[in-house]
Amino acid sequence: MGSRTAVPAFIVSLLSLVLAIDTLSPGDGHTDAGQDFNQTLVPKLVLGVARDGTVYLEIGLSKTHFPDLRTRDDRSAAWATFFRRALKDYPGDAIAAPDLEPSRYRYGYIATRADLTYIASVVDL
Amino acid sequence: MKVTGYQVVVSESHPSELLLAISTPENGSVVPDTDLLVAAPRLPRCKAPCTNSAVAPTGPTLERIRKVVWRGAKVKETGHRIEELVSLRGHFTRRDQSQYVVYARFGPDPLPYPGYRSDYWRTLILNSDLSIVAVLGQNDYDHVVPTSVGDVDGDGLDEIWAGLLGSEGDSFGLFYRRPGNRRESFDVIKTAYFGL
Repeated sequence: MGSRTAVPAFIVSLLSLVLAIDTLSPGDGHTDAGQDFNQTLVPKLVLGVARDGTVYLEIGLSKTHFPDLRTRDDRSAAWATFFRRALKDYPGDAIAAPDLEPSRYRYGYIATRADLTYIASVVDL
Repeated sequence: MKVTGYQVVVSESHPSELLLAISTPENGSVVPDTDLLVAAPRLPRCKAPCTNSAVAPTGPTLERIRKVVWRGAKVKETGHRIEELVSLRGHFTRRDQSQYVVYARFGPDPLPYPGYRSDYWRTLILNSDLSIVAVLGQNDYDHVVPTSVGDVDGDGLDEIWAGLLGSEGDSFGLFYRRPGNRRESFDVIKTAYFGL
């Protein structure tokens, strides 16, 4: 016997996100049960939070566009390249991000004239 | 839903910039607030009841779990005891029996620093007979505190959703079974760390 506590709404969010990401990257079906989770799902998993109806996903750089990021210096150089290209008008176009909870997403800025096409082409999403 | 923008997060607490994709629902769907969610291009359709669970054992089972998690704990100081115990039932390596993921923090916490967590803790996965299946962590900086369990990939085994709580910051993680090893082991995908 056990006591059931409040269940977080993770899966509801997750289902919504299935639709979101499918729209961005159309696929021919869902992962089949029994497939190797490590091979099929893990490389494409992203984590994030939802606040006030908005979903914030932590995304990385695509290995296709930024291969061989083995060291911290490699990664720093890749991110520097990315930001130079993506945020070409920064800081002139920057506005403060909403004061989010959890606190790890505070202190951000939104570059209002960022090159969204470029960003979408090189991030791992 | 679709991605409507990107947000860069920078602060002294982050070792580097954090890039967020901002998404909003379409078709009237609603996304409730949550501190951790998972997304992927093609997730399997969930099976009923299609929700995470947080079912805690009670009674004699819980008392036996307390003894098991204390036995073998690497606590160097005397006078410590279990200050916090979190135990959730699920199926982590076996579909045919209930198992438990158990976090125990051995205190007292260090007195001079309010809010700091004890150096001594462990998080285990136990079989229904309470034998140890795997150790998710122990005595490291960030305590692995399970919050719920749920089957993300549709294979009949639960992944473990957990807070990764340090004394000066935290992140969140999803633990999943690493297949192919003779000894059971787990990997974790985690969010960016926020803290000092």
